[in-house]
Amino acid sequence: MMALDTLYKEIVLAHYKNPHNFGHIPEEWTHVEGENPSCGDQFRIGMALEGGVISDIRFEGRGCAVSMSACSLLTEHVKGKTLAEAGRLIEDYLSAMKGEGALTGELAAFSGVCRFPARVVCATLCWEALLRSINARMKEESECVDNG
Amino acid sequence: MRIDGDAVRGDFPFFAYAEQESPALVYLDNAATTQRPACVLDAVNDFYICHNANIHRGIHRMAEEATAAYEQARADVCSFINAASVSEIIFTRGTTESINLVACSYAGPILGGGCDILLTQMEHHSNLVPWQMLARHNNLRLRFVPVLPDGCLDMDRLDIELRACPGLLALAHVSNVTGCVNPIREIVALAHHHGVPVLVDGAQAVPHLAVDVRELGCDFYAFSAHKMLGPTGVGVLYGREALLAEMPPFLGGGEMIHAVTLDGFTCNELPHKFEAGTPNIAGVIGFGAALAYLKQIGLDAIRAHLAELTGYAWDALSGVEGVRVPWRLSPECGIVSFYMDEVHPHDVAQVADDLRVAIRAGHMCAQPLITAFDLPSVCRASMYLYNTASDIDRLIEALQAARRYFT
Repeated sequence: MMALDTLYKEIVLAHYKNPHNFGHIPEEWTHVEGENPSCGDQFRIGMALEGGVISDIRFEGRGCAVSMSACSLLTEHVKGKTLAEAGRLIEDYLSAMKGEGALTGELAAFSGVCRFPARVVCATLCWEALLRSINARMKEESECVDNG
Repeated sequence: MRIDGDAVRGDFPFFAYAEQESPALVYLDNAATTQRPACVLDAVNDFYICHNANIHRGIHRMAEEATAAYEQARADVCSFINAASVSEIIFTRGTTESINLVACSYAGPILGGGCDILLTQMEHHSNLVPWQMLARHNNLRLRFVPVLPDGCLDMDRLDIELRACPGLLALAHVSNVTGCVNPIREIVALAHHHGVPVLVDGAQAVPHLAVDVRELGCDFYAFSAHKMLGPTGVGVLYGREALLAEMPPFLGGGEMIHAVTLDGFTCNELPHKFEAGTPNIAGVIGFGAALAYLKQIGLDAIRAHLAELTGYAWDALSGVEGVRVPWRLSPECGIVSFYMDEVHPHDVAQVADDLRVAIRAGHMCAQPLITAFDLPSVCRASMYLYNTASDIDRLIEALQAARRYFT
């Protein structure tokens, strides 16, 4: 099953079986939803923001091994970062998933996904959803500043 | 007559290709599309090599031969579903286009605005989205007959909904997810009693069931060639001649006209009124060859084969820890949807693919149905005349491997 091992690296399976930051999201946090109706992956990601920093982040939902582990690793990588830092990190990941740039550290576990085009969306679903939320939040904050 | 598995597989060049590597490829996604026998591939090739000309326009020999072959295929379809006349057989690109044709040329202009279109919760998107699109622009409302927990249509609710006299009832003959076979003859009789015309999505029915549109009594019936050994890009809309005659054309262009001036056009007679442009001539001729092949094998033999194979699959799946088969309906259609505790359908299908077993995973283009059963998605194995018990054995091995890999 060598081809499968390319897709499901140990770290992917580990995060699938024991996802980090998985649990109930308090209502007052900033929420965003990500869904891939074609395979039934459905997630909700919530972040607590303090002074522009993602002080805490959790996700709920259900999905395949690739999407669950991608969401788990996403939450680990953005926790403690500012919105701008998290946004850049996510953009780098999404570019790498399109073949522009390399995935490093734990995220290198998803480098094999590109060989399974139908599964790329599983690996990017939550990352794109959170980026939308971050961009929306940053736009709101910059409009508040502009309006004094 | 039983199907001789080895003889049948010998008719399909796919199996020689599938066996080039070991283990051989196992194809269990026939509800999505079927493989083609050599006679279909030969008919398509033969057209392109020896008879390649456009139809219904040239007077040279090849144009006559091409036209005759195309119209012979239409006659073959007419006979296959026992329609009254070839005027009632329209070739389209597939079931989806056939249904869109009815939405645009019947429901829109003939039914007008303000009425209800009655659908069911089990519909494939091809028999849902065209109506949603129409409803946005035409002030139509969509109503839905629910599906019962066992996967069958709620016939009591159907009766109640029909008493409200919707403008049209459109429903599947066979569900591509649950395998449920709806009692179309009974449903059409009930609908007509209330003055409601009926469109049937027969995409998953015609490959296995003996469909007689006059016996069923439906007003429209749609199906696809590629789900019954024919080429892709070919479908059929059967419509009762009286209805088709009233309907405005669907697409405009060559072939569907009688005469054209700068000021306007008059329509061609049926069925050509609904076949604008150059059709998939080779595909239609190939479809004719597919129908001949199916007649020679016999749909009753196919049904018996699938019933036995589906029963075998149900038993075998019961023996795999964590596998759930939520619907055990109509074994003669060969559709077995299932899911595995703790392993997402996408991951199950990925492991199966790694072991060279092709199954489907997802919502099967029937999101509302899957959602109604509170499932994220399912896997589906769908068999046809060339599948064997050893194909099911390979599926079982793949499911066991998926369980070991993920739990």
